[in-house]
Amino acid sequence: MKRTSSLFIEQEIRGWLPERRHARGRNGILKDTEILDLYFARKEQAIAETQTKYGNYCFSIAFHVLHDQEDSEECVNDTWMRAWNSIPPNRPDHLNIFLGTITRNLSFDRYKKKKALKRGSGEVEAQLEELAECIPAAGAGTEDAVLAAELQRLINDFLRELPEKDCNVFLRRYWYSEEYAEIAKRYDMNLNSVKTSLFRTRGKLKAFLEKQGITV
Amino acid sequence: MEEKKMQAAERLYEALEGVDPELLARSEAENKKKVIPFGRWAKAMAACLALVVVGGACWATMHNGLGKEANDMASSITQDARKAIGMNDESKADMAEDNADGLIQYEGNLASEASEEAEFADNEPWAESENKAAESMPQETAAQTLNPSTDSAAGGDKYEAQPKKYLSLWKDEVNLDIRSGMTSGSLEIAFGEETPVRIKSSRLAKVLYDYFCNLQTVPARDVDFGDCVTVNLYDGDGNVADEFRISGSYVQRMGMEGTYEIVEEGYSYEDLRESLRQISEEGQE
Repeated sequence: MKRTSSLFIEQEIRGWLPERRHARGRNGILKDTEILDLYFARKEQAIAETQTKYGNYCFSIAFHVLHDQEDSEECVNDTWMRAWNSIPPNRPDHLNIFLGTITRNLSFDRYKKKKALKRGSGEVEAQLEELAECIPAAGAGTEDAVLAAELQRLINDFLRELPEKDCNVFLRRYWYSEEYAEIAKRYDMNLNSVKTSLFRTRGKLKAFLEKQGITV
Repeated sequence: MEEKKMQAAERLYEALEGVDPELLARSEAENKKKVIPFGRWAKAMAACLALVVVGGACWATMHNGLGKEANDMASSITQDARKAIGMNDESKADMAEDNADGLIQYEGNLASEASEEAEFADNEPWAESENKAAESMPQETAAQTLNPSTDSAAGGDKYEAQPKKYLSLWKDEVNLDIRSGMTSGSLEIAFGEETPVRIKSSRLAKVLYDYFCNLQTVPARDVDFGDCVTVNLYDGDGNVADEFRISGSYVQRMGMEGTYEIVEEGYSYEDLRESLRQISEEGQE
């Protein structure tokens, strides 16, 4: 299983970021509400402003999933297009989360395609293997599997009950697809502490889903 | 099964896209927190600690330096004061050295008491001679005269706690009755009509010696019987076994005929003390 080091990821992201930053001065960054107003006004400047402000953020998410610069850039560009089509009517409270979710979905779709072609990245596979530990023993992939919306609601309930730090670590790992080392650095934690936190949270999630009597 | 489990994991992964944006924003917010590594804190704390230590050291140095200067100044003042009053008593000097103000106060007390004595003595016929004697008296004795408590501090009995009576004894014509408790070996001493105070027999000589030291201020030739002290020694039955009259220049002993015979004359005070010690010892026997 091929793994890409976090240092490599950072270098890739940083190498990609400057040219986007040079496109626009730092002081010229608009607020989210101003960007959304541009979307609602249907001005193409909205995409440029979004790329200026959230290009790094979205690229980072995509790159963590795909570990490929070209694929990541394509996902980011697809994100702008998806956002342009959904705003309006949507007016997200957190524009960054909204864009990040789109990027993540697109990246994961691309990951699945690559996986089908046996070109998948090892990091996401590792995350999926870890998430497989959370699957209740009742069954997997059966016809009575819980609906996606219900599963999302349950996961949100579970995450709200978690301690804040454990919740953050869990999201950084399985939402942002960050590596252990990155999470440890981000939260100033020991690497083993991150692993332990994730291991315990997965066990809690499994117990929670079993208690709810659902099948994923 | 493994494939199904992986599919379930993918569903779970995809379901995470519906995570509450608030939770994601919270994780982002924490990400924005400036994380200061412990090393930086440690450096900052070490710098603060070093500043505190250096500041404390500087303060302590300045404080000690000033304190030393103050001690030197107080010592010089004390020495000057001692020279001015001609003090030789080391204990008083030590006491005075503790506080220069205390020394000044002590000196002031001496002066005020001396002035009171002078006023009192001015009304007495023998005042002039007393004052002359006081001027010629050694400083140590003068201090005892004016403030007998300093001398009695070595004792610790009730008698020594009544310095004023001691002075009044000197001023007035008082018969001093010393009763020797033959069995107990103790003595009682009474001043005038005061309740007798029990003192140890070994203190007898000192008490009388101190008394006659005060009488020293009066020239011996001017002392008449009115200034003498009657010392009665009692036997175990309470009867007078022996009687003495002691003045500043001689010791009389009552003879069998009821008259007083001089047993000591022209004695020094050391002789008197020794005589009184013998009297005391004889009384105890």
